[in-house]
Parts: sequence; C-alpha cells; structure tokens
Amino acid sequence: MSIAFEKSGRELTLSEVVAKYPGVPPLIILKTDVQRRGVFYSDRALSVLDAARHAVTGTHIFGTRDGKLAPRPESLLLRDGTSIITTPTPLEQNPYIVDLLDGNPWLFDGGDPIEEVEYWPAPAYYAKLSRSGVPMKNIVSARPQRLNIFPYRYCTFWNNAKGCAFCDIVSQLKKGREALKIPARLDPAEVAEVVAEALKEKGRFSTLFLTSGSVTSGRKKPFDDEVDFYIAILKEVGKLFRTPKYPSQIIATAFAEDQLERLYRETGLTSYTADLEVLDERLFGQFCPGKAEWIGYKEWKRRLVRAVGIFGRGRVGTGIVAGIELTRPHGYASEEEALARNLEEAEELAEQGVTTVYIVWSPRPGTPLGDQKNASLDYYVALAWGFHRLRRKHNLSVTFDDYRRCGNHPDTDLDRLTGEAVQVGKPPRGD
Amino acid sequence: MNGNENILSERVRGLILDPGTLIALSTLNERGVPQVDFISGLVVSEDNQLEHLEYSENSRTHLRLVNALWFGHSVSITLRGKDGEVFEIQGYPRKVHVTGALFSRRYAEVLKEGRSEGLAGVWRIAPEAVTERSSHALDREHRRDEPFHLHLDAFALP
Repeated sequence: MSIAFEKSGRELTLSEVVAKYPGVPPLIILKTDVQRRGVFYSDRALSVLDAARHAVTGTHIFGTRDGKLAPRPESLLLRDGTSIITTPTPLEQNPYIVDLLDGNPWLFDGGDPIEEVEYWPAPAYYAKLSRSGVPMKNIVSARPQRLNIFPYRYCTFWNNAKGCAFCDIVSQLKKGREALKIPARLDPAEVAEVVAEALKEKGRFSTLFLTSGSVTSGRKKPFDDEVDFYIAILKEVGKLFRTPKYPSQIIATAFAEDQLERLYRETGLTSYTADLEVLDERLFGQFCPGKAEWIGYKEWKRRLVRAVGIFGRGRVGTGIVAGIELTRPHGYASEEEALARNLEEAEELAEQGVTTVYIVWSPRPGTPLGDQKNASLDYYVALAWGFHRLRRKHNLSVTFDDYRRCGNHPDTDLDRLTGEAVQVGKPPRGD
Repeated sequence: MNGNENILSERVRGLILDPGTLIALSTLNERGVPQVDFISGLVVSEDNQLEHLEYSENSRTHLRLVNALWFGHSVSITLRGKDGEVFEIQGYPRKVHVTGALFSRRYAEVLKEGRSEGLAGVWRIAPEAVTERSSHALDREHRRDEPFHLHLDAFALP
C-alpha cells in the first residue's frame, strides 16, 4: 500500500483527513486526533467530575502528558462505545478542550463543539478497601469493560539505564507510591479479592488484563521471575472462574517457549502480547536498548511466532508506539518510508499469525523522546487502515484487543467495519 | 426534529410492547444494498427514544448499526402486528451503551429474563418519522387520493 502524504510540510486538518479517507469512520479519525493532540479539561468540565461515579486518573502504570498527578477523568467514552485513551496535556501543546455543552462534556476545538463524550464510569468496587486497607482501585483498575492488573510497577531494564526511550513507568511508580500509596508489587491473594468484588457487578467487565515492567531475574533463565509472578496472580484469579480458561490478555516480555508453555498450561490466560514498540531492528536497538540487550529484535519476533503455536492464531499480538519511528535524529526521514516499513514488518508477522496493533505515541515529560512531536493525523489514519487491512487479508481476529477489551488502538476499532467495506469499499485515496 | 419529541403514538408503542409483533430492522450496506434483520429486544425509553437491546457482539445488526452511526446513515424499523397493521419508523442510531448505568440496568433485566448470553450493547435510536404502512390504510388513502389508478368497475354499482 502506498499513500501520498502532504509534501508541503503543512499537516492536513481533521476535515481534510476525513475527506481523504472516506472508508474510515470520521469518529475513529477524531479519536485518533484526540489521542495525538491530547486533551485539556476546563474547570467547568472538571466541576462535573465525580469520583463516586467516574474513573479518576492516578491508577495507571504510565504517567500523563503534563506530568501531573491530579484528579481528572481517567479517559473518555465515545458514542460508538469505543474509548479515547488520552492524557491531560498542557494548553501550549494545542490539545482538544473538554468543556461542557448543555451541562454535558464535549470535545471542543477552536471554540467549536466537535463531539459529545462521557467520562469513564467508576465501577462499584472503586469505593471499597481491600483487606489490607488499600483502596481497591489501586490494586485493580478499570477501563469501561476491562480489569487492569499491574502486578509489578517497575521495569528492571532501567537498572542499567536501558529502559525504553518513550517510557515513564519508573517515574510514575515513584509518584504513585508517594502520592497515592499504590503498592509497587501486588499480593496475588489481594488481587483475587478485588477481582471477586469486581465480578459482583454483572455485565461490567469482559476481560482481564495484566501488564508489568520487565523483570530480567530468574531461577533458571532470564525473566523466570516475571513469568512466575504472572502465573501466581493468574492462578489465584483463576479460582474465581468455573472454566479453566477465561477472557484475558497479558502484555509482557517476549518469553522463551518453555515460559510461554507454562503461562498457557498453568493458567487461564487466553491471549498473549509482547510489544516490539517499533518495527525495525535498528530503531529497536536505539529506542528499546534493554529489550535489545536481553532478547534482541529477531529473537523477539521468533518468540511471538512461537507463541502462536501455543495460544493460537488471533490470540497473539505485538504493539508499537506509533510515532517514535519518526523522531530525530534516528527515525525515518519521511512518513511514507515509515508507513511502508511498518506495513512490511507487520505483514511478515501477520503471515505467521501474529497481529500488530499500535497506540498513538504521547510524548511524556522526563523521557528521552519527551520533547519531540508525534506524527501527523494523516500518517496515523493510514497506519490504522494498513494494519486493519492486513488482519482482514490474513484472516486474523483481534477480539482480545478490540474497541471493547482495550480501546487504545485506532486500527482495531476498524474491526467493526462491515466486511463489505474492506473488500469492496472505497480505499483511502492513493491506495 | 427534536429527538425528545414524542412522535411514537400509543398504537406504535403498543405494537412495540406486544411480543406478537414482528420487528424488522433495515439498513444499507456499503454497496447500497438493503439488508433486513428481524430483531427482538426493542423498547421505548422514558425520553421517547428507541432502545434496541443487542445480545451479540458480532451480530450483523450490531455491526450495521455501528456503521450507520459512523457514516451518518438512517435506519428503518418496520413493525407488523398480529392483526396485520404495519408501521415504519425511520431513525438514526445515535449511541451505543456498552457500559454505564443504562447498560447495567438493561443487563440485569436481560439476565432476569433468563438470557444467559447477556447483552452486548444498548442502542439508542432517535426516531425521526413514523409512517403507517398497513395495507388497509394504504388502500384507503389510495382510493381517496388517486382515483385514476383504479379500474372503473371499482366505482360501478353492483
């Protein structure tokens, strides 16, 4: 697929991108742009935020774009049921504004109301404390339909300063520990206690999700400790279900085959994701030096493919932080080149049963890439369309990471385009 | 029109409530081909919107409604009562609730009814126009408005 991007250096506006891609829902293009530019909550918008009814920021493993810990909406829901997972962004970065219209939250741009939004609802268990007296939301947090478990909020790649260049997990851990008393390492029994409470709210959740920082230590081989900890939590949580397997996703390190086997055989886990973060070996080494040092790009991909043999096609994925591949001085010189390279690598993985998804990169303060800009909206939409088409071409399901289970991938939002749209619908111009 | 304005008459509401009514949802696919699905789980909300309870995440109806919402297309809902009366409601899918208070309430109701598969979403459809399509009503209108479409023997004395 080749897409012609704007050559003048001027980025296309939202309406121009909507016109350029008639086969892509305008609402998903808007969502992508909001993720790209971030949001700023007006005082009026914050005045209707109610911690008893809404999910409030502070529980996530990663930080915000403005570097602050303050009570703001965790994220936003759109009319089509998908989420805009975005972070509060300083006004000088030209974010969308969330303000009120007729008493309800709306997205505004340039003073104009663009689209109504809802704050994520807080689940009932958010009001409760665990048996050790910790607020339950600090042990297991919630997206609209997903339970988030962050077993360990530290990444040992940072021990020798080889953490990923876009990641603020360690600084967020410090903030969360000091300001909110969030435990760095969870107790599996306490996690199960909270999940049991969450399950009392029927219809509220459709999947269980785990992610941690990488843990290089191990009894026999690197990352055994990380695997053991996931297994301990999944086993404890698994006692709550009547079936041996239950809808669940893990985003973890690319484990060796025997570790993957254990993870699958000993727990109820049903899908596995190991994020490459960037689809190029040179850039992987540059932006993910810890992953490159301990596993390497080619081996990471091999492990993903092996995971397909264990978890099955359509149950294994990798994610990229889209936009870092265009940063200076190491990134691609053009968006055309970046798109072509991303799709080429993603297709190689898709052919082997691994699906690729992306998140819109939010440059975060204090990270090595934090002072750079993310990519154009045009680029992100072309990438979403490209990944979506690859899944259709290779008949890859992505229900474990779709609008409802996750909500953070514009490309998987397109999974709800009806089949005809992909086969005979109008492709983006230039396709 | 204002989406909250009540354009659903008592007769139409009665048909929606009646379990014997056949309900068909018509949408267009991307090639402009009409598709009709028979649905259950249609209710009228307190603010006069149609609520369609969607039980399956991957049903054709659900996907068609998402696509209608995404691309601003209207849909049509046809009600055919036990006695042959037919009404057509044209409307726009405005929102699908997959979480939150409305979803939770409807989910609980669905479980209470014994539908163990639960609920995928609650669609809010804003009715824009209602037309009676019952054949006897159409005949009556036709005879009144277009006498030239009939044969003379229809006017003749017995």
